Amino acid sequence: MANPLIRRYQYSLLRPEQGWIYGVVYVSLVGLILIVNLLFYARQSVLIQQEPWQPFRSLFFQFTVFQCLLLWVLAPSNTGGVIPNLMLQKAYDFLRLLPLSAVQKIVGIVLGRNLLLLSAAAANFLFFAMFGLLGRISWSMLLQIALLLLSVGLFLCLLSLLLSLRSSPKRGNPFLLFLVLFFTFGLPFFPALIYNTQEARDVSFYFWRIPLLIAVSGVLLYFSVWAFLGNRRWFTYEYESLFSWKGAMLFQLLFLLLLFGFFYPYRQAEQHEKIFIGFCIAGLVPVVLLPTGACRTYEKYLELSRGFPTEKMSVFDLFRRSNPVLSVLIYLIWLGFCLAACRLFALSAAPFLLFAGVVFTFYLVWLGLLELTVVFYNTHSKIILLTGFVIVLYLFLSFILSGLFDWDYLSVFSPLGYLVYVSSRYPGEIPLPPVFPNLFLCTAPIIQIFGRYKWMIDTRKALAKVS
Amino acid sequence: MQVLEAQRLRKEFGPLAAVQDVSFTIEQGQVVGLIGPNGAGKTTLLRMLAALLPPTDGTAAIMGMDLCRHPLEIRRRIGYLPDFFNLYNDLTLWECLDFTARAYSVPSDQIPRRIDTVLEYVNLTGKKHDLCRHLSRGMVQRMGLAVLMVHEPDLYLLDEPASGLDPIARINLRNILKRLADEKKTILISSHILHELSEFCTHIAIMDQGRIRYFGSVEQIRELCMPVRILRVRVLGDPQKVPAVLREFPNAAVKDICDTVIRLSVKGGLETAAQLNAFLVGHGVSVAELTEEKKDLEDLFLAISAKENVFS
Repeated sequence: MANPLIRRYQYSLLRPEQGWIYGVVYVSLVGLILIVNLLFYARQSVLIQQEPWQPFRSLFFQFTVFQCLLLWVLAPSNTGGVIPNLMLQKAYDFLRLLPLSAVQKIVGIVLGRNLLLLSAAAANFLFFAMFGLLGRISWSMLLQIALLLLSVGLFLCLLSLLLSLRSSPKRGNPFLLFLVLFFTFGLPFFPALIYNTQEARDVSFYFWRIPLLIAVSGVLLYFSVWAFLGNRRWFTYEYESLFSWKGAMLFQLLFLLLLFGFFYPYRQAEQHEKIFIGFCIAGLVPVVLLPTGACRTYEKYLELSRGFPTEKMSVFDLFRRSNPVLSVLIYLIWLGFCLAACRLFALSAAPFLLFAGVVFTFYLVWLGLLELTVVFYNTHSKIILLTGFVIVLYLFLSFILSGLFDWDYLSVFSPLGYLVYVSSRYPGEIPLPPVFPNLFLCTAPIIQIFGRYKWMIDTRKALAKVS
Repeated sequence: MQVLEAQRLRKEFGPLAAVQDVSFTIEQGQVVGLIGPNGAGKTTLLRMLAALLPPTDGTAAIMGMDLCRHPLEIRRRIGYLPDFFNLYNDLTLWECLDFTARAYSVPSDQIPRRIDTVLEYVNLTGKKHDLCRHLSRGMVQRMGLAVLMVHEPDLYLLDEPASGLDPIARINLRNILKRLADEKKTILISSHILHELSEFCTHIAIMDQGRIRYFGSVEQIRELCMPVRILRVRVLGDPQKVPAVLREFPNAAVKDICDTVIRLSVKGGLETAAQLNAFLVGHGVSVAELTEEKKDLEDLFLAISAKENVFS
């Protein structure tokens, strides 16, 4: 094995004295599925006349569930448990010190830790293909399902590893979490899958029609690539944010390109205004979330300020490298893309610009609270509770008030309420009143933030004088 | 050859400056004892040097490579033993060393020989097929050193390697460290148990409140902090004559006399000791033996504390 980490897991997981135990467990499980089905079929065939291929199709679905449990529950929980377990054992420093590249570490952990599971999954795929073909499922559909199983598994493994790199070591193995996630989100997949195997569904993507399962897998692979890049970044630069500035902007741009592919075919549909605003709102998700992923910490600001020329150091030097500037750049990418989309949808830009302007004021409040947390967190760690509380209040208070006073319009003062309100009335009605409370709400954080920037610059100047 | 050069290293954790403007250099073959009370910043300094913690300010170069720019390459060239650690509990000693050697790109054909050598070095050959989880604390510590040695690092960074060990395990560990020092390995070792360092350190750095207060060879620091040497002179004949003779020798005073051994405090270096010997012989005293009573690091540490009251 070229990757030492895979070899390390090969040593610990595939010892002859334990390998046969896992083998027996797997064979017993497969045997159990087959025997139960055989007995069930033998009894049922007396009562109901079935097509000969139907029992095989039933077996195919059972092996798909088995495969899901292996790839969507056990593999991600194994992967996500590696770092917390090393931390608990106080062996994490050894992993960090290993002069392996980040890619070697990621591949080593994901493949190495799941060596046994992947062996079982490989054997399972044989049954999956055999029963699928005997159950009259086409090769093409089998490949699509297999691709979906693998892409979801890969995404969950990478995401789980990524989250474990910054989580508390006390969490240990996240098996229970993945089991709950599977029963919440994974199980509805099966009725959809059964329906899809009976009648293949296609979706439109730009100028093409592509199978639904391929489309879902493609989207998941896009996120897997970014999860991989995120892992690579955190294994290489442990104290950096998840996204670099360039990475965050590229993610936003590619996300919009990908997303727009699903909306573009409907540019001439009857309700294309609603479709357009739906795209704009969906495109806002990373605009809101990326600033947290690319967030520069207070320590990072101090590090950046080291590079400034001491004599001419000013608050502006820090500000132009700060989180709000990146967030505004991400917002501008969204704005530019949506304006281009507006043109492709042959819609007037004026209502959209009004909408984007109001959204920007909501965004300023969000950025203000986020940056306030960043610059004060090192001295007032509980500020996260305060800003968290304000954010929850900001999101839901106007909903509660609109319910209390039975006045729907009040909900537009919440960012969520505003998006819901506009999405159903665009382009006819773009409420402007939220601009005023938003501008008022972001004033105090902005003053505090700039005060803190100034303090950081003054501290840096004092340090420079001392040294 | 310079192995490590730290320049104004600084680490802040929120409002706390754990390491403040630390600068020093370590040459090849030096064994530097980093001593200081708990909370002095030793562990933070070592973790920064191991590229595990980014400095808030300042930088360091290890084998000429900048700590911030080449962390991966630096990790390849150093061996860092944390203060509290465990090995991979699900591996045997042999597997653990094989894995480490491969991760550090040791050529495959050299790995078995290298593993046998380091296991013999740390006296764990008989345990090589045991799981790491079955080792005692002392063995884990020795195995930790073996893990470092298997890739032959240019610089060893050892953080309190003897903490939590019983006396026998501590002696075993000290013997290994002495052997490494005799082989001219470059080592930076932190401890607040000074005795364990005194036998093999060539240099010491005394750290307090995040700053290096003193850095230099043991001799230099001894000269600086304890200019008076204690000499033990064994004479043939009546030792009570000696104090009268010594009244004519400047910078020497009798501390006490026990049987035929006289303890003297002498200001000055080794030349003064030689002059004293010649003086005594010249004045008819039969000197059978003249030795210097070596002070260990504990005495130096206490002397420095008393002198500057830095640890108050």
